[in-house]
Amino acid sequence: MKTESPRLRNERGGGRALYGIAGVALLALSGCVSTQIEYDRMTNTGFPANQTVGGKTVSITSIYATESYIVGVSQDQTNIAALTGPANPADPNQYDYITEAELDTVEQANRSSPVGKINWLCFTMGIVPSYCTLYHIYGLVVNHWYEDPDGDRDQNTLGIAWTTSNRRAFANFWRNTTVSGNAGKYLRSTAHEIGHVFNLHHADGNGTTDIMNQTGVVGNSYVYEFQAAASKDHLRDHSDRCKYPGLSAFGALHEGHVDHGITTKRCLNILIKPVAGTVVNP
Amino acid sequence: MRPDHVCIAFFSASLAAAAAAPAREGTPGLSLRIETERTSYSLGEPVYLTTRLSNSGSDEARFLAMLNPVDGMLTVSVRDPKGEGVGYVPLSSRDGDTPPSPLPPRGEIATTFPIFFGADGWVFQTPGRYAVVASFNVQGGKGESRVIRSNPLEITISDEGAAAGRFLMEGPAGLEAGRFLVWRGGDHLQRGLRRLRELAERYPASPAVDHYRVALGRSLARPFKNYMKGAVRPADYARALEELGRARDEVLPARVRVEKYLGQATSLLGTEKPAEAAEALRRARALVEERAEVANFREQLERLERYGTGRKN
Repeated sequence: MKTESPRLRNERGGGRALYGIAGVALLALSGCVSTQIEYDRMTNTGFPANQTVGGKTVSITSIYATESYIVGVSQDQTNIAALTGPANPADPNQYDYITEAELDTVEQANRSSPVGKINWLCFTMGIVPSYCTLYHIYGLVVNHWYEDPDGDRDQNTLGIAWTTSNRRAFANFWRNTTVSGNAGKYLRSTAHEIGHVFNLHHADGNGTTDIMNQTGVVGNSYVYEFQAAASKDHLRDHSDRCKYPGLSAFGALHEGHVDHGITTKRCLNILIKPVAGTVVNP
Repeated sequence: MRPDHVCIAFFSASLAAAAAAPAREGTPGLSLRIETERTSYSLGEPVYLTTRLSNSGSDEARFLAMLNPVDGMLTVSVRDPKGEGVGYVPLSSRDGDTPPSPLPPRGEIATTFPIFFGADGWVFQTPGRYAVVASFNVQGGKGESRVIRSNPLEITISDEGAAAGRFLMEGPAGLEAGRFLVWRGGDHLQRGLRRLRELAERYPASPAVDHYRVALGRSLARPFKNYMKGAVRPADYARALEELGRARDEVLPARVRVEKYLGQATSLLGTEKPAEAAEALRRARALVEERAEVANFREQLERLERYGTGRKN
């Protein structure tokens, strides 16, 4: 029989708490862990719209609530202008595409939320303090297609998690016809990218319908659910450091996770790895 | 949304059963091979891995034919000389709507990509022998995934020129430098660019400097949309040609030479030198025709060839 950590129990309580006043009261009493997405978009694009499935509204928040995660979406800027420069007759379409390095500058210019987590004292019952924790993700809808570092212009990419060093952000490519023309798949792809931010991989999908499969794999048969055991186990059981955004690198190993053959370091140290034998400022 | 586009919980029992099915090892007829152009590299020198997936069976195979780790179908394990796992995980992971495609009998697909720097930083940080193996997840969209493992590959990182490598990789500036080398751009990565410039000044003979010149030349040959400045930095063809021209072909792998020639062609066309551009394109064309693993550069090559032909006429 599995035992749940107090934090996990808090998360589970918090996930349901979104839907009622009693739940909100419980959230305050027990402390909570939640994740907030700061979502920006460029002019003439759109955020992924909620969908109705079987009479129920499906949103990013509801998708993650089924796994007992509290994920809020804060639609922020809606009119970031896509930059263009001097026309080049040899390459008239070059401004229709955006690279990962350029995405990085969009984030740095517009992100207002911190990377990682913040903690605060949210309630004190007698002398016992209860702390809340908030993690942050930056999302961005760009009015471009994707251009990869090789210079390949890829009109088939819907979204990307391009900050794998600490899993802090993702982007959607509005020019992709599926993103701009198929609202159901757009919402699915966004949930998929957020899955990467939570350190889930394509190999964590079930190969048919669930969120962590590539959109090209699921085709028109998809669900707004994490169905594969690898995904569910990760979201349920693994340590916060291995899954919450901003805390470790993409692919960082965690105890008990399915071996994808990556063999990265454990999710303990990020950002700065000292190089053996180096001398600073020789 | 159209109701037929979403399978809902109605089918959850059968889907849960599919979810529980483990990936199976091996697929009849499909084999995965990995290689590098050399077996030994200097510390800090960028390493590119080539992957080849071939169908030696008698039946067509249909799957997501994506051999680049950014697509998440192929994973690369690298173990350092002590046997510790050190990657490789790419700097990004993307979701595409490219459907599964057929690989006919005797067909082969191939690609090549950097494995020297990824999500966890520099991969080859100390001299010694590294063990590399790749796994490919064959997914055709019908639920049953199969994993193909490659041959094991040993890469030796020599301590020749190690001072240059250590200087390149050191600290936060080293991480930015690695990011610039992989991204082939990033004007905002000022600390990394400064580190790379200093590397070129202090250790001009280091092979990493040739890779830097190609990365910088490729970056300069195109405009950079810098949202931190709210402006586009235009292409600087003269500087691009200068940097690319100083990168030595003999130390660059084929795919980086293709990048160099395409960058030169772009810059030469941008400076109205179509005859010289044609020569650069001819060199790129020869490599693209000869090597399946650089076929992804064909679209860029043909775009430049079309424009170049128009300029000559």
